[in-house]
Amino acid sequence: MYFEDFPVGKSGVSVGKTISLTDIELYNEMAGWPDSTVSGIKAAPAMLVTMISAGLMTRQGFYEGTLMGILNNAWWYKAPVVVGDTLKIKYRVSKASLTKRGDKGIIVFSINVYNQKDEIVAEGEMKAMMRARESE
Amino acid sequence: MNNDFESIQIGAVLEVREQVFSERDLILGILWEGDAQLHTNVPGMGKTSFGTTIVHGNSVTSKIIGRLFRTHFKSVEEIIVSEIDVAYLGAVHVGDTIQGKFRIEDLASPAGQSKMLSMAFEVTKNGQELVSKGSMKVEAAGNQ
Repeated sequence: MYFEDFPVGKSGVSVGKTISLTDIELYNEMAGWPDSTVSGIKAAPAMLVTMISAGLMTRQGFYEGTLMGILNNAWWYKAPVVVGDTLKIKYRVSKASLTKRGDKGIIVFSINVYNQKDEIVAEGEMKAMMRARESE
Repeated sequence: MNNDFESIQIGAVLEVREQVFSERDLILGILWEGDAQLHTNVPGMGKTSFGTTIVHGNSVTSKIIGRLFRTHFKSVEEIIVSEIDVAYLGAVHVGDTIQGKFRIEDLASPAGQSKMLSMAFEVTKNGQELVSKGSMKVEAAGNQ
């Protein structure tokens, strides 16, 4: 999909992703983050929540081949995420602007991340550069 | 300046030195974010301004913050990150060497030994090129 396919207000919901102990241990080992627990249950590092949320956006499939880059990532972590939680995202296009050349545009996705209890565990804003149809 | 966690003050700059990025770091991003034909498709990336494969920006942020915690927060029992805001300004390729600087912008000690830290950070590669910059809020609780 191209820039033009993302008008302000476009929204959607992802599939769910359950956080496993392996997710957390592998991330901590590869990225070097310290272990953390909440009430004795292993907790997911903030950046892992961000990356899983970005992955749930990728799984929408709508920017395959047309995403030119993520320019900015801003995330606010509202509640702990622990092993066994199932995350899903709801996204909404909050801003969209075409560049002067008209061959690409900047889209801001506002994202809420929910757990299986429908509690918001994180909020994010991803600023993405996407190809416009003009570029083809 | 002494940058041990116990003596961190506003204005302190915490340096994170020299991590060489490898193919393993390409995998870090793919495992949780996927790819969207932007990072690891060698022929595809060869046709872009990047020229070759690039590491996911969030992998760079993950590793630089991870190194910060391992280097400067070793004595802290629990670290809670409440905000991260990062702008990606340049690409990181396999073989690039990354450094980071985190400046303490604000610091509060609301209770006991915990500290609320606001930091601004910059990440450079190969000693000169700025690849990302941002800010982060962290609560570090209870020294070990």
